[in-house]
Amino acid sequence: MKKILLLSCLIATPVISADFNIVEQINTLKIEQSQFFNQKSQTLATSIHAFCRTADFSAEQQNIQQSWLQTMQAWMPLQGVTKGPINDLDLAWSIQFWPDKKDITGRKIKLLLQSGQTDWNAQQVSEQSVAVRGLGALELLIFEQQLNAQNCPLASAIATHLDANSQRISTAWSEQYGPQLLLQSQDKKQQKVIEQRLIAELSHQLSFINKKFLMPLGKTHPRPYQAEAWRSETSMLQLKSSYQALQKYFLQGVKPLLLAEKKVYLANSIEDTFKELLTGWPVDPSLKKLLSDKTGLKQLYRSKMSMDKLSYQLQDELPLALNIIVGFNATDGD
Amino acid sequence: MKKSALALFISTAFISQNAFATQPKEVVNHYADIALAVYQDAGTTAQQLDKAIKNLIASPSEKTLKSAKTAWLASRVPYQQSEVFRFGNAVVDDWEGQLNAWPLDEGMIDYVKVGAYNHELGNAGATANIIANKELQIGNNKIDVNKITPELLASLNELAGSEANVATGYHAIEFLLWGQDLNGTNAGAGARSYTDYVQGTGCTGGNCDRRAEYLQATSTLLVSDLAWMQTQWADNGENYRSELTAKAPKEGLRIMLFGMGSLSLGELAGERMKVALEANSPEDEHDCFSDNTHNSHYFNQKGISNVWFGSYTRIDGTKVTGPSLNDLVAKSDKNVAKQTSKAVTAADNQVHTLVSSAEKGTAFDQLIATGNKSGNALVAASIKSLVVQTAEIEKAAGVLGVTNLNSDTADHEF
Repeated sequence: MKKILLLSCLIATPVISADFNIVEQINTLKIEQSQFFNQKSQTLATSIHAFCRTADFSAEQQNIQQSWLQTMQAWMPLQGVTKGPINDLDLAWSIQFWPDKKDITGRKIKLLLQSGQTDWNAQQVSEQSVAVRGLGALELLIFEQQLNAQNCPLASAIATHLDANSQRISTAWSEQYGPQLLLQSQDKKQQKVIEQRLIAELSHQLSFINKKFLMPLGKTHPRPYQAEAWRSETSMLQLKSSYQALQKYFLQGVKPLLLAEKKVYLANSIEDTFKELLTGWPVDPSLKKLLSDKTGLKQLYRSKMSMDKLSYQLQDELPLALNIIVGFNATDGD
Repeated sequence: MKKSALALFISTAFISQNAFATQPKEVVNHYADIALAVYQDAGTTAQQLDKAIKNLIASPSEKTLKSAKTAWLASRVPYQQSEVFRFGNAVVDDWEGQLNAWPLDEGMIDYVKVGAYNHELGNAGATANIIANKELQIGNNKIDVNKITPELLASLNELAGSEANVATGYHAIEFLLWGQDLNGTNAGAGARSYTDYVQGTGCTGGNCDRRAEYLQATSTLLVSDLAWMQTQWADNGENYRSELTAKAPKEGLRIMLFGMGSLSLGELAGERMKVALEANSPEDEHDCFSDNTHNSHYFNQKGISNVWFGSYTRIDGTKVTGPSLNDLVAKSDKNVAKQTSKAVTAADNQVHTLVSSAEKGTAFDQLIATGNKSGNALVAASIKSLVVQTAEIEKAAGVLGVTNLNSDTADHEF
């Protein structure tokens, strides 16, 4: 019996090459993800510019909505990271301001549109409140208002601004931060520090994603407007993309390390929990809708159980198994 | 007895000098001493505030309103220094919402100016106006609020699941003394008139009787809440302090460090400064009715500093000092202790620039205005000093072998 068990463990465990390098893995992954986000932002900007130029506002806007959705989903793997270009350049909130409890986005956009200015450019957008600089503001203009003669100049400028920021992130990853990270990690002592940081990032990003789930769920009553992407009713798609991105990060970067440390059981358990969470994920893209009735709530609470399990594994068991200190992040607080 | 104690003292003194060096247990115990002193001061100033409120209600005038406001400002000094005890100590975290929940949708409490009031989206209680109504209709539920008591108000906190429904505590009192700040990011705080408390002819804002009842009820609750918290930190009997000091000392140290780092980064730098700054949103400043945010922030930081250096200056000017985290870290790594002390002192000084700015006439809500580049830079510098401080606290934690500093409770990542 023991023998069989041992054998199955060996089969399930790929041999880790001694030169497995989490820094290289994550670097490649992040460069790909930031390039992809840049592509999607570019496409969104191009399609908004083209639509606004034709000035036929009776035309279908589904393509633009689709393009926004793809850009948003491409942002998910980069959202909530605490180290790297987004942090260094302080761009996270300019890309997406969330949570927005008092709808600053709605109020500030209203003020900008009421100002009567029609010649908006990206530079001017960058000087406004973070709430009107990115994906949340575009969501309001594209889904809630739909593009029109009045809001097109502002929407175009925000899209250009977003595109430029995504370009900055992508360039910084591939030309500065990434190469620097690789260089630093050639030093054995530094490599250990970077490795630990990259593992801790998994926990930090998870905190952020969980927050997106827990805030709208509320402690006693559902709070649908605390969700991201409530205006497009795509919150559940974004959340799923977030957990998928985290799964990828785990599988490509962290699981091999766990295996190298012979923490096979934990590595496989975490992988299973990711699968459990994602395969059981509610199909309805609208969190607002799910929160509004008992069947929906039941589905959400089922997912929450998997989420809680995953959080325990990633934030309590994993740091212990790999002997790392997960430091403070900005979700520590109220 | 005395002799043998002295003999023991002398003999141990010769064994090793280290035996008298700071021990984790002593540091945790002194932390509890500081907490007790801070909550005692908060209790004393809340009683003074309550007295001033009683005077305002008994004889409303410019003078009595001003005295009440002055007492409120004084009461914030120790309370803000107590917030470092909040994260990590569940007894505080579970309790503090009733005293300091923020930001609030003040339309739940009293009248607000239509068109100048921005509340949380989807909050069913945002315009409930308890003072003007004896019965509230929240969704399908009717709530009887005819008799305003401390218990009733406490039960209305987080009504309908919204954290913005804050019926009690410092900010409810602040709103009832100052009123809405209608100046946005321009100069000026709320300007409620004392006549809102005049009974009968001359009453402004309507329902002056219920407004006075409301103010008194929430003040009474504040005083009793703070008295309760003092009993939890007293050095006698079965209370939270005895639980804390019975834990493994390392767990006590973890709680101390966790409280400092969480307040420093997620709460103060993040929720209380960065959101307001980057979104240019005065509704997201902490003491938004009174424009006392600069002090509020500074004394939060002072609380962090108190715990690190093991020193608290009481409201009567006396000092509570004793074994500190700084001493303990220095025992193992002088350099890390020095660097952390440097970062904590730098944060003290940097956050104090917000106080200096307000004293010169530019309050926090003006600093965060769109286009105020130098003002924005000043707030950004405070945020940076807090981020640096947090990183040093992490290193200090590492020296003490304290791991697991991650938790999951704030709202904005940056």
